[in-house]
Amino acid sequence: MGNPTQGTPALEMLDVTRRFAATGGRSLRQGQNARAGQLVVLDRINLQITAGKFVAVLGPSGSGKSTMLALMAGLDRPSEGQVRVEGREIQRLGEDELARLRRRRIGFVFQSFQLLGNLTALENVMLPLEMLGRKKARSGATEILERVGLAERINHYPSQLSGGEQQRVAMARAFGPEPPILLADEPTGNLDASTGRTILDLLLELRDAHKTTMVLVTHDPKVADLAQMRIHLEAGRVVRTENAEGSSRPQDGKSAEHEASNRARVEPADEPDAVEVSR
Amino acid sequence: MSVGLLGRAIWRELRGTFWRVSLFGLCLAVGVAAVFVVNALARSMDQAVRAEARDALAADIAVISRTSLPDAAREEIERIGPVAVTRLIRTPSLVSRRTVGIIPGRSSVVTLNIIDGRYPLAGQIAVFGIEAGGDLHGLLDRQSIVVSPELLQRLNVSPGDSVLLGGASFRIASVAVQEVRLPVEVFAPGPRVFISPEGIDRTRFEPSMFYEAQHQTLLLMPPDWSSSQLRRATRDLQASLKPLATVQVESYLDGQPLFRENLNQFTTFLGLVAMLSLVVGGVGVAQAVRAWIASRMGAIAVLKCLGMRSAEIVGIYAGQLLVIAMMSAAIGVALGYGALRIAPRVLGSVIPSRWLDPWQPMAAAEAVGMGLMVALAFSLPPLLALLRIPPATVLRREAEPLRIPLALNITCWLVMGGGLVFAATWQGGSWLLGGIFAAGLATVLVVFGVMSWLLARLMSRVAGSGAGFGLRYSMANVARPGAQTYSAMVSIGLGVLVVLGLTLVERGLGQQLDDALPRQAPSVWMFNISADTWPSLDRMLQREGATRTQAAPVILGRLISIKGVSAQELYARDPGSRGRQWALTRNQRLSHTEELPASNRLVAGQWWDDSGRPQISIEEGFARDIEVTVGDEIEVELEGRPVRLVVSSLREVDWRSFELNFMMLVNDAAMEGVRYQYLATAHLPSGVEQRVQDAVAAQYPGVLLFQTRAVLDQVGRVLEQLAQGLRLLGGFVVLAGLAILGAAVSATMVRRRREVALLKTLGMTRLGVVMVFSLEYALLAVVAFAVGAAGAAVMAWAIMTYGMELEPVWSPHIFATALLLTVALMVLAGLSASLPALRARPHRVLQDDAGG
Repeated sequence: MGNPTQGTPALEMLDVTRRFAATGGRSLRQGQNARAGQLVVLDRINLQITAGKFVAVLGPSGSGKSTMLALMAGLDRPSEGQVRVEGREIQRLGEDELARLRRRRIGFVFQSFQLLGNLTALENVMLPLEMLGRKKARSGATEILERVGLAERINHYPSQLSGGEQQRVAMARAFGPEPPILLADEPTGNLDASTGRTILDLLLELRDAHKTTMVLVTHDPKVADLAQMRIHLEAGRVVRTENAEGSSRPQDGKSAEHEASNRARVEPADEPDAVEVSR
Repeated sequence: MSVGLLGRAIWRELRGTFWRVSLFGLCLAVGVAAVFVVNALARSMDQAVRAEARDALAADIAVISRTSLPDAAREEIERIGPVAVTRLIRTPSLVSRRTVGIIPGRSSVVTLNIIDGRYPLAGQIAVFGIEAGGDLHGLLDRQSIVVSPELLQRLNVSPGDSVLLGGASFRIASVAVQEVRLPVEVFAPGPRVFISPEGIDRTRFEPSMFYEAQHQTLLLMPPDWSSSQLRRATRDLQASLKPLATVQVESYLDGQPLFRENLNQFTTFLGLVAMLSLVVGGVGVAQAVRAWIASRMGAIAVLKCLGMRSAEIVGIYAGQLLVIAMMSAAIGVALGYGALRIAPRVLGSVIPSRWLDPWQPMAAAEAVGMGLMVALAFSLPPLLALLRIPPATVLRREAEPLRIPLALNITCWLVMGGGLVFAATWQGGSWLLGGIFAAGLATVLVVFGVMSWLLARLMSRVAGSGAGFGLRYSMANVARPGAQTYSAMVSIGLGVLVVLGLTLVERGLGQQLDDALPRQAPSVWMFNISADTWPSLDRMLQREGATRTQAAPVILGRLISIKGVSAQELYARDPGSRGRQWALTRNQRLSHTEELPASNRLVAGQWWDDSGRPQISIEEGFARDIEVTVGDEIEVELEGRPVRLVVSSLREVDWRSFELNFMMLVNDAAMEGVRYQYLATAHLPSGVEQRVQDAVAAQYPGVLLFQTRAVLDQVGRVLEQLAQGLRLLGGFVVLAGLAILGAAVSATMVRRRREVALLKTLGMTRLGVVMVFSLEYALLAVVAFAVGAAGAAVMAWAIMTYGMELEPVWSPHIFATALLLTVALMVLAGLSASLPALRARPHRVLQDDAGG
């Protein structure tokens, strides 16, 4: 499962807008890109995430974080613009091709764990490996469960595990097939602070080990601080991006020089200037 | 996805959800059981009739006619080369014990079998005193008869005793037990009595004048004949005897064709009723699968998220369905097998118990096949809905559903409809019947859909009005999106349709039987009365208290030609209605009268003119059937003699008058040289019928008497047994309906749990909640009943009017009782399915809810 060469874009969004039908007959967010009767959740987003990077997406509830993640995973399609995963435009792919893409290239960790309740921890982790036709799905799954510290719990069902344990299983399931891209939706949101910290450490450890491109959605600035790049979303727009050193560029839409494109380019942290954000 | 992974995935899913979909299994099992029971009964009886056909026919080939065969026919029979020929005349008669002093002995109507030759020619008949396969005829001499055991019982006599028959005394030589008795023989006038023609000579009977005699010429063919030779000979004989329209030829290989045809019609009807319970089960399946998939939405979204393709997920769920459907079908067959084991107890007196062989692998395979087809057909729409589940649900609960291509949607409904039509065709035996059944069913389902929608609309409007909280809340429950209104309507409505429809038919039949006996109906009917006997018989009846007696001459006649065209040719040109077939091919009873009977009215032509020509007056409906009018000439064979008659008038007859009435009346001129007998009726005080019958048997040998009440009672008993069978089937539909209702209510269980918890938290008592729920179920029951009852009325009307040619009967109290039962059943079933929700502790439910 070779990761793409460092430096090439793993995820790209070009002028991406996502609208949903809204009740009430008129747009809930008026603007140049708004249409009557529609709710604009993401508004002309441009960004590029280079392979191997860890990016955090921050923003208040309803700012469009999860929608952005769904678009990156091909779980959803943009209303306008292009989303590219490792150079492939997701709009051009059918549902089944998207499923295959996720199976091979993308791992997920969710806030509510999303384990399959009728499968044991081991079976949950085995499933993606089995779908890939891996011969040693069982031993591979066992190995990674041992690595996340669940050697004793592999035959337990999710309902028999604590929240922290369930999230470990979810991480094992996500990293099992060694996907080049990992999308994490508030993975510590349902956990207490101490468990959350342990889980986060584990997540980062696994990411480092597998050199995975990781996009992590979070409310928590402390969690986001660990990322090489932070994207701040508000009301469907990128309002600010920051690199690891803390240099930031505002994207409030008021500055005339940024009005054109709402563009963010996320490059490795040791090349701060490569982060290009403009609007 | 590899087959291995598919299998593992199916197993893992099943492991967790098996019990939750068990109601789906129950719906299907009940339907499969119903289909299996009916198909197994049909097959088992058909096989038995075929297997025992030779015993029943007592010959290889039988030529059956209403009169004795003409010589030409006998020559044709000889030509096919029978080894042995036996002539048999079968007719009802009276047998009684000897008179003691002046008190006549007890009498019974019997079926007299006059056998002239070896009997049986083929097959077995157990006769005490002769070897198996021996000859019953050998036991009969001028003085003796052989009887069936029922007669011994009825008259309380034993072998060796003497009884009176046709004015002569006969010794009971032996008892013949014929194992093979067709269920139709339950309708036969009475126990069998075998007698020789020499014995008949001693009686005062005139065989040529018998009422309703059946003449059989039984043939034994060479023992080395193959089946195909026998078939060919039967065909040849049929062809050569065709000019004799009233003669019928059958071989034992045909396996009682008439009986089997009737059986087939009856079982087809039952089969479609059974099919209905399978379809009700199918609706339950759709319901349960939809609820099940809805409960698995999260898991399905996760699977899609992990990269599983929709087709693979459909495969997993379809695989699970198949496994559960197969298990349910197997349970259904086991249930059906159990029902068949107890069937002889229910149907024992109509159908010989050895005909009810529950081991019917083909019927089981049919039922399982149809069960699987119905299950998969009805699961298609919910399975298709699985494609719509957006994987983004894992991130956002309200993610937009995915689109399904229109072509796929249409294909799905077409496959579903096609599956239904195919299953109905298989069960009904013809595409036409299958199509009509499926179309009717689709109409009913659509009507239920429309009614559910209307009900929900109405309730959502009314719910806001000033009704009390309980009623308002119940109405809102019916109206809300996701309420199980449609499934509840279908389950209850179809149950009402079938059970009420069958009850209406059954009660209708019962009422016809009762109606057939109003006060003005005669209590006894008498046949074979000679002209000189009638005055004395009439006096005797008056002595016994008869309030009214009536007699009319009867002549047996057959239409030869109408307006110069032979009846046979007319029939070949256009068999037409049942009335026309009967008119053109059967012997008719004509009468002779000088005066127009009181209950008749002339509608065309005039009463007998003075020309002295043979004339005929015809009932107007009969005239329409044979297409004649006043002035036309018809030729009728009267007691074997052709007579040309001019139609002088057409009559309207009031059949309800209970006068003796006839389709055809002839004048004096037509009767010249024709021998005839009288048919008579009498109105007797209740309770003296048997005494009169005994007296007639003793004093008027040769006269045959039927007690109206006894005949109708016998018919009523058989109908009651058949009705029990029908009710058993109706029970399957109700059972399937209840299973669906359970499935529908438990589909809303999560919602109900939360609702009950909230209502309790807000201070409502458990009784209050029960009242609210009861009102909701009662509302649904009333509407479902209205639709189901309308369907039942249409079904009963169609069956009564077209199937049985009877007037349908509508009694309001049946509808009222059915409504009450429906509401009670629905409320009871709904409440018991809601019991877990009612029992749950509010804080636990709300806590679970908050915890996600």
